Amino acid sequence: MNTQFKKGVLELCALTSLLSGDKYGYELADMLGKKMTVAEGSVYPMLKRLQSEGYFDSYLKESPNGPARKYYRITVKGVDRQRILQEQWFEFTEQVNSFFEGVEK
Amino acid sequence: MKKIDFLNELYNYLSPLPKAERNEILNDFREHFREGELAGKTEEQICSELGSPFECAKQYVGDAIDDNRIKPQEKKKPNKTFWTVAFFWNIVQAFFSIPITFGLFVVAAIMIVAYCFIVPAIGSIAFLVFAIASTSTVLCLGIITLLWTMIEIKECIKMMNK
Repeated sequence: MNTQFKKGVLELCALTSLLSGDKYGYELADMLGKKMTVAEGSVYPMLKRLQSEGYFDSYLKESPNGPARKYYRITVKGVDRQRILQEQWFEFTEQVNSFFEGVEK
Repeated sequence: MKKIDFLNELYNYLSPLPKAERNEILNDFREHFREGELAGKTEEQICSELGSPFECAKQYVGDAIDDNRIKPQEKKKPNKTFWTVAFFWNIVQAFFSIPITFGLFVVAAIMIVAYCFIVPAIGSIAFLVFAIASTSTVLCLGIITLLWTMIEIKECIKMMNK
Protein backbone atom coordinates (compact mmCIF):
# COMPACT_ATOMS: atom_id res chain seq x y z
CA MET A 1 0.00 0.00 0.00
CA ASN A 2 1.11 3.56 -0.65
CA THR A 3 3.12 4.85 2.33
CA GLN A 4 1.55 8.30 2.51
CA PHE A 5 -1.92 6.78 2.44
CA LYS A 6 -0.97 4.19 5.01
CA LYS A 7 0.42 6.84 7.31
CA GLY A 8 -2.92 8.60 7.58
CA VAL A 9 -4.77 5.36 8.17
CA LEU A 10 -2.22 4.26 10.72
CA GLU A 11 -2.96 7.38 12.74
CA LEU A 12 -6.66 6.53 12.76
CA CYS A 13 -5.90 2.97 13.83
CA ALA A 14 -3.66 4.09 16.68
CA LEU A 15 -6.29 6.52 17.94
CA THR A 16 -9.00 3.88 17.65
CA SER A 17 -7.04 1.20 19.49
CA LEU A 18 -6.51 3.57 22.41
CA LEU A 19 -10.25 4.21 22.74
CA SER A 20 -10.61 0.83 24.41
CA GLY A 21 -7.94 1.55 27.00
CA ASP A 22 -4.36 2.70 27.58
CA LYS A 23 -1.63 0.73 25.86
CA TYR A 24 2.16 0.65 26.01
CA GLY A 25 4.42 1.26 23.03
CA TYR A 26 5.29 -2.32 22.23
CA GLU A 27 1.66 -3.38 22.34
CA LEU A 28 0.70 -0.71 19.81
CA ALA A 29 3.74 -1.32 17.59
CA ASP A 30 3.18 -5.07 17.59
CA MET A 31 -0.52 -4.79 16.87
CA LEU A 32 -0.29 -2.11 14.16
CA GLY A 33 2.80 -3.73 12.64
CA LYS A 34 1.06 -7.07 12.25
CA LYS A 35 -2.43 -5.95 11.26
CA MET A 36 -1.42 -3.10 9.01
CA THR A 37 1.82 -4.65 7.70
CA VAL A 38 3.93 -1.58 8.42
CA ALA A 39 7.44 -1.41 9.82
CA GLU A 40 7.00 -1.41 13.58
CA GLY A 41 9.67 1.27 13.79
CA SER A 42 7.35 3.76 12.11
CA VAL A 43 4.82 3.45 14.92
CA TYR A 44 7.03 5.25 17.46
CA PRO A 45 7.56 8.43 15.42
CA MET A 46 3.80 8.56 14.85
CA LEU A 47 3.04 8.14 18.55
CA LYS A 48 5.44 10.93 19.36
CA ARG A 49 3.87 13.21 16.77
CA LEU A 50 0.33 12.50 17.95
CA GLN A 51 1.48 13.18 21.48
CA SER A 52 3.06 16.50 20.57
CA GLU A 53 -0.15 17.44 18.76
CA GLY A 54 -2.06 16.81 21.98
CA TYR A 55 -4.05 13.73 20.94
CA PHE A 56 -2.23 11.46 23.39
CA ASP A 57 -0.42 11.81 26.63
CA SER A 58 1.92 9.29 28.17
CA TYR A 59 2.89 8.07 31.62
CA LEU A 60 5.21 5.46 33.08
CA LYS A 61 3.82 2.46 34.87
CA GLU A 62 5.66 -0.41 36.53
CA SER A 63 5.41 -3.68 34.63
CA PRO A 64 5.11 -7.05 36.39
CA ASN A 65 8.34 -8.25 34.77
CA GLY A 66 11.05 -5.60 34.62
CA PRO A 67 11.34 -1.83 34.30
CA ALA A 68 8.49 0.64 33.84
CA ARG A 69 6.58 0.78 30.56
CA LYS A 70 5.53 3.94 28.77
CA TYR A 71 1.75 3.92 28.41
CA TYR A 72 -0.21 6.06 26.01
CA ARG A 73 -3.59 7.52 26.90
CA ILE A 74 -5.94 9.23 24.46
CA THR A 75 -6.98 12.81 25.34
CA VAL A 76 -10.35 14.49 24.80
CA LYS A 77 -8.82 16.20 21.78
CA GLY A 78 -7.69 12.78 20.55
CA VAL A 79 -11.18 11.32 20.88
CA ASP A 80 -12.53 14.19 18.77
CA ARG A 81 -9.78 13.64 16.24
CA GLN A 82 -10.56 9.92 16.07
CA ARG A 83 -14.23 10.64 15.41
CA ILE A 84 -13.45 13.09 12.60
CA LEU A 85 -10.92 10.77 10.96
CA GLN A 86 -13.27 7.81 11.20
CA GLU A 87 -16.09 9.79 9.59
CA GLN A 88 -13.74 10.85 6.82
CA TRP A 89 -12.63 7.26 6.36
CA PHE A 90 -16.15 5.92 5.96
CA GLU A 91 -17.09 8.77 3.67
CA PHE A 92 -14.02 8.13 1.55
CA THR A 93 -14.42 4.35 1.31
CA GLU A 94 -18.10 4.81 0.47
CA GLN A 95 -17.19 7.13 -2.39
CA VAL A 96 -14.53 4.76 -3.67
CA ASN A 97 -16.87 1.77 -3.42
CA SER A 98 -19.67 3.53 -5.27
CA PHE A 99 -17.12 4.51 -7.91
CA PHE A 100 -16.10 0.87 -8.34
CA GLU A 101 -19.72 -0.18 -8.63
CA GLY A 102 -20.30 2.45 -11.31
CA VAL A 103 -17.31 1.21 -13.31
CA GLU A 104 -18.35 -2.43 -13.12
CA LYS A 105 -21.82 -1.79 -14.59
CA MET B 1 21.31 -6.72 12.64
CA LYS B 2 21.94 -6.66 16.38
CA LYS B 3 20.24 -4.41 18.91
CA ILE B 4 23.37 -2.40 19.64
CA ASP B 5 23.95 -1.68 15.93
CA PHE B 6 20.35 -0.65 15.42
CA LEU B 7 20.40 1.75 18.37
CA ASN B 8 23.77 3.21 17.43
CA GLU B 9 22.72 3.82 13.85
CA LEU B 10 19.43 5.34 14.93
CA TYR B 11 21.22 7.63 17.38
CA ASN B 12 23.59 8.83 14.65
CA TYR B 13 20.82 9.54 12.18
CA LEU B 14 18.99 11.54 14.83
CA SER B 15 21.94 13.91 15.18
CA PRO B 16 19.99 17.01 14.03
CA LEU B 17 17.82 16.71 17.17
CA PRO B 18 18.70 17.95 20.68
CA LYS B 19 20.38 15.37 22.88
CA ALA B 20 17.48 15.07 25.34
CA GLU B 21 15.05 14.31 22.53
CA ARG B 22 17.40 11.75 21.00
CA ASN B 23 17.70 9.96 24.32
CA GLU B 24 13.94 9.96 24.76
CA ILE B 25 13.48 8.35 21.35
CA LEU B 26 16.23 5.82 22.07
CA ASN B 27 14.45 4.90 25.29
CA ASP B 28 11.27 4.11 23.37
CA PHE B 29 13.23 1.75 21.14
CA ARG B 30 15.13 0.21 24.07
CA GLU B 31 11.79 -0.53 25.68
CA HIS B 32 10.61 -2.07 22.42
CA PHE B 33 13.63 -4.41 22.36
CA ARG B 34 13.11 -5.32 26.00
CA GLU B 35 9.46 -6.19 25.46
CA GLY B 36 10.23 -8.07 22.26
CA GLU B 37 12.86 -10.16 24.04
CA LEU B 38 10.39 -10.89 26.83
CA ALA B 39 7.98 -12.08 24.15
CA GLY B 40 10.66 -14.54 23.07
CA LYS B 41 11.94 -12.80 19.94
CA THR B 42 15.57 -12.63 18.90
CA GLU B 43 17.36 -9.30 18.41
CA GLU B 44 17.56 -9.92 14.66
CA GLN B 45 13.85 -10.65 14.46
CA ILE B 46 12.94 -7.46 16.35
CA CYS B 47 15.24 -5.43 14.12
CA SER B 48 13.71 -6.76 10.93
CA GLU B 49 10.22 -6.00 12.21
CA LEU B 50 11.24 -2.46 13.11
CA GLY B 51 12.57 -1.70 9.64
CA SER B 52 15.75 0.21 8.93
CA PRO B 53 17.10 2.72 11.46
CA PHE B 54 17.35 5.26 8.65
CA GLU B 55 13.63 5.02 7.84
CA CYS B 56 12.76 5.29 11.54
CA ALA B 57 14.99 8.31 12.04
CA LYS B 58 13.69 9.99 8.88
CA GLN B 59 10.21 10.17 10.38
CA TYR B 60 11.53 12.05 13.40
CA VAL B 61 13.99 14.28 11.65
CA GLY B 62 12.32 14.76 8.26
CA ASP B 63 14.39 16.27 5.49
CA ALA B 64 17.01 17.52 7.92
CA ILE B 65 18.38 13.98 8.10
CA ASP B 66 22.07 13.86 7.46
CA ASP B 67 22.32 12.49 3.93
CA ASN B 68 26.01 11.83 4.33
CA ARG B 69 25.17 8.98 6.60
CA ILE B 70 22.83 7.25 4.18
CA LYS B 71 25.56 5.45 2.30
CA PRO B 72 28.00 3.38 4.26
CA GLN B 73 31.09 5.52 4.31
CA GLU B 74 33.33 4.60 1.45
CA LYS B 75 37.00 4.37 2.19
CA LYS B 76 38.76 7.33 0.72
CA LYS B 77 41.07 6.23 -2.06
CA PRO B 78 44.35 8.11 -2.33
CA ASN B 79 44.21 10.22 -5.49
CA LYS B 80 46.74 10.91 -8.19
CA THR B 81 48.37 13.77 -6.29
CA PHE B 82 49.02 11.45 -3.37
CA TRP B 83 50.89 8.98 -5.59
CA THR B 84 52.85 11.69 -7.38
CA VAL B 85 54.04 13.02 -4.04
CA ALA B 86 54.83 9.45 -2.93
CA PHE B 87 56.79 8.86 -6.14
CA PHE B 88 59.06 11.84 -5.60
CA TRP B 89 59.37 11.09 -1.92
CA ASN B 90 60.60 7.58 -2.79
CA ILE B 91 63.15 8.96 -5.23
CA VAL B 92 64.44 11.22 -2.46
CA GLN B 93 64.55 8.22 -0.13
CA ALA B 94 66.29 6.12 -2.76
CA PHE B 95 68.86 8.86 -3.26
CA PHE B 96 69.59 9.05 0.45
CA SER B 97 69.64 5.30 0.80
CA ILE B 98 72.32 4.90 -1.90
CA PRO B 99 75.14 5.26 0.62
CA ILE B 100 73.54 2.39 2.55
CA THR B 101 72.72 0.17 -0.44
CA PHE B 102 75.92 0.98 -2.21
CA GLY B 103 77.90 0.82 1.01
CA LEU B 104 76.57 -2.66 1.76
CA PHE B 105 77.68 -3.91 -1.66
CA VAL B 106 81.13 -2.37 -1.18
CA VAL B 107 81.46 -4.00 2.22
CA ALA B 108 80.36 -7.34 0.73
CA ALA B 109 82.90 -7.01 -2.08
CA ILE B 110 85.73 -6.14 0.34
CA MET B 111 84.77 -9.09 2.53
CA ILE B 112 84.83 -11.53 -0.42
CA VAL B 113 88.22 -10.32 -1.56
CA ALA B 114 89.63 -10.23 1.96
CA TYR B 115 88.44 -13.71 2.83
CA CYS B 116 89.88 -15.07 -0.41
CA PHE B 117 93.31 -14.10 0.92
CA ILE B 118 92.75 -14.85 4.60
CA VAL B 119 90.94 -18.20 4.38
CA PRO B 120 93.68 -20.09 2.52
CA ALA B 121 96.20 -18.55 4.92
CA ILE B 122 94.35 -19.69 8.07
CA GLY B 123 92.94 -22.81 6.46
CA SER B 124 90.17 -23.39 8.97
CA ILE B 125 86.74 -24.70 7.81
CA ALA B 126 84.98 -22.86 10.67
CA PHE B 127 86.40 -19.58 9.47
CA LEU B 128 85.31 -20.39 5.89
CA VAL B 129 81.72 -20.90 7.06
CA PHE B 130 81.85 -17.63 9.03
CA ALA B 131 83.22 -15.82 5.97
CA ILE B 132 80.45 -17.08 3.66
CA ALA B 133 77.71 -16.37 6.24
CA SER B 134 78.76 -12.83 7.04
CA THR B 135 79.35 -11.93 3.39
CA SER B 136 75.97 -13.24 2.24
CA THR B 137 74.19 -11.46 5.09
CA VAL B 138 75.60 -8.11 4.04
CA LEU B 139 74.88 -8.88 0.40
CA CYS B 140 71.27 -9.86 1.14
CA LEU B 141 70.68 -6.64 3.10
CA GLY B 142 71.92 -4.65 0.13
CA ILE B 143 69.66 -6.52 -2.31
CA ILE B 144 66.62 -6.18 -0.05
CA THR B 145 67.13 -2.43 0.34
CA LEU B 146 67.52 -2.05 -3.41
CA LEU B 147 64.47 -4.16 -4.28
CA TRP B 148 62.30 -2.44 -1.69
CA THR B 149 63.04 0.98 -3.09
CA MET B 150 62.44 -0.22 -6.64
CA ILE B 151 59.11 -1.85 -5.77
CA GLU B 152 57.91 1.30 -4.05
CA ILE B 153 58.81 3.48 -7.02
CA LYS B 154 57.19 1.03 -9.45
CA GLU B 155 54.00 1.01 -7.36
CA CYS B 156 53.89 4.80 -7.41
CA ILE B 157 54.29 4.90 -11.20
CA LYS B 158 51.48 2.37 -11.59
CA MET B 159 49.13 4.35 -9.35
CA MET B 160 50.00 7.65 -11.01
CA ASN B 161 49.02 6.29 -14.43
CA LYS B 162 45.63 5.07 -13.20
